[in-house]
Amino acid sequence: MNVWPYNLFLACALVAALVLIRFVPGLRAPGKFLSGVPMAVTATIFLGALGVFSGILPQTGDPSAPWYYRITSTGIFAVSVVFFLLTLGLAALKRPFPKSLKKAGYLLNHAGLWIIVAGMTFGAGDIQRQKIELKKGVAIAQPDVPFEITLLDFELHEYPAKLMLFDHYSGVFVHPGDFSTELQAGKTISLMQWKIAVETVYPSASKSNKDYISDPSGKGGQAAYIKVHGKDISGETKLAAEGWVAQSGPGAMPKGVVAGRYMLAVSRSQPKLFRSVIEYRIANGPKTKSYIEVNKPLAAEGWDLYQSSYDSSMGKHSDVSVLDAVRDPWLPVVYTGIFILLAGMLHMFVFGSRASIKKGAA
Amino acid sequence: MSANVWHVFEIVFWPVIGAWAAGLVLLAVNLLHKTRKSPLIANILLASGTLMLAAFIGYMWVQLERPPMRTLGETRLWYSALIPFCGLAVGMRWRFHWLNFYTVLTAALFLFINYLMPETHDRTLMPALQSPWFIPHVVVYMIGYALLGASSLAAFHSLLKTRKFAALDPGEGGFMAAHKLAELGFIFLTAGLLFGGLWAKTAWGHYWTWDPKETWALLTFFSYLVFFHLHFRSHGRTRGAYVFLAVSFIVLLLCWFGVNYLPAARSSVHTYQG
Repeated sequence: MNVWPYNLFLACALVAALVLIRFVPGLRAPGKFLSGVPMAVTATIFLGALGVFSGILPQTGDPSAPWYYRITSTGIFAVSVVFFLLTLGLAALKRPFPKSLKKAGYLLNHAGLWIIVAGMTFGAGDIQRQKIELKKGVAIAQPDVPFEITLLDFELHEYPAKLMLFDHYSGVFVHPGDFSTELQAGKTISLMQWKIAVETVYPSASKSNKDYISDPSGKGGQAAYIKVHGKDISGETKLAAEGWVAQSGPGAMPKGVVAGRYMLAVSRSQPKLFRSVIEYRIANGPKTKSYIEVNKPLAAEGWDLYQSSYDSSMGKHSDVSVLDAVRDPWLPVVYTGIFILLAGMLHMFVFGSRASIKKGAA
Repeated sequence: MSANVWHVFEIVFWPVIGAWAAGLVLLAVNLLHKTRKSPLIANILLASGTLMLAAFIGYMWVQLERPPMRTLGETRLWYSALIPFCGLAVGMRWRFHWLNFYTVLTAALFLFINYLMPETHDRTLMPALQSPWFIPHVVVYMIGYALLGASSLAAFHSLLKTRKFAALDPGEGGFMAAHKLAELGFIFLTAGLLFGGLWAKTAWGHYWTWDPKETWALLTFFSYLVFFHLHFRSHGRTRGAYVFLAVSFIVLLLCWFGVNYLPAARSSVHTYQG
């Protein structure tokens, strides 16, 4: 954490420089030159050309890597951003007080983009990001993060599993399973020359003797009872088979149904939703229960907590949940810029790009 | 849920292509005879083909129980449905009916690519994509891409008609359409970029991570910025600005498809588009 906010001083210094260049009478000529179209084009191409490197070559955070593998941490990139902010900032200050709404578009677009880029640049050093690995039932406190978190439960919901088919003898997949072979109760699946009736489906099942029963804990694998009717591969002899197909679960092997030389089995299913049920406590305050889900972060004490990952080898049984804790004090600055630029775009949509610009000046 | 989306696509494909082909033939006849009248029947045919495609996208949405916007093939469908409307609108607004040939042929090309590359349509949507931002982000981008594609095509047509060293006439229908379309497309492109940032913040904790897709989206944005500044400076009279319009569209295509083939794609979070 920055004790001395250098970045804030630098940002203020840049703004002061922009205002000076713009409004001190002796500096009008260089100011005009720096804020003109040729400079805007040069600055954009300069920054863009460096961007091309980072768009083509994989980037790394490793400071010992060659410069083209870490473009955004190089000196030349810093120079290009400062140059961009200088010319864009002066351009924004060209018409700081639009006389009417119709003429405000130019300022909204230029100032909005300037605020975004400046907020990103000067705020970068203040962003704090930490991975928090939670284990069920264990209270975790990390330095800098001002609260203690306990994982109460990790929940994972899955999409319906798919029926897949492979050759019993060679082990080769004949059909890897797709949208049409999703296991849903009451559905009839057409596969090969067969009709496969899906009778019972348990999203979470456990084994009981030779049968499967619903497992209310939600931690079991998916299982379905299927009936296969049709002809075998030669198209001559009749074929009928039935039985349970199931994913593996706690203490249970995966199970398939043999139909002639083929085996019907259940694919692994993809996660539909995963979330952590947590309890957090700020200092010695009361405990608060909450949920954290992908796309639904939790905000507390200036920090945002994001669901990042879990132990994917354990799937539903994972008792580990990984969160990202992020603190970005400059976020309001960047968001302000984003909304100003969006307003500028709305303005351009309504009035057109030329409405706010005098002919011959940019 | 037994209906197979792919089979329906194979059935819908032909009437859509048929309506477009008939519309273009009629439009060509109309334009070659230089009639002053608006090519109403041709427009109706082109629009009906496009509406059929739009209806198919709606059907697909219902069948998949998720917005059909995840894979590159699905985004191509959206593009094919949106770009012909840009051509029709420009034809009616600036009487620049030639644009329909470019937009409809582009749409047909994209549809044809989908026809040749059957996708296994899948209902799954990874948790990161389950967000209220998903639809606005993709739709706004697709509208932007369609408008910017139409813009490049309009400029291309008018540049071909202009003598090599002559000053361009910014009042000519094609150039006017190209500029206006670029402007509209840029608005949507910018909105898509900003929505993407707002979404990334709620999904991954940061609005900007220099992911290769993000980087190329920014480069596309920059490239169009350069076009607007050059166009503004030259009052739309020089070829240079339009060269940048072409460059911008190439950068846009790199961002949309090309990224997957670049070394940087290894570290992209947009890989689900596969």
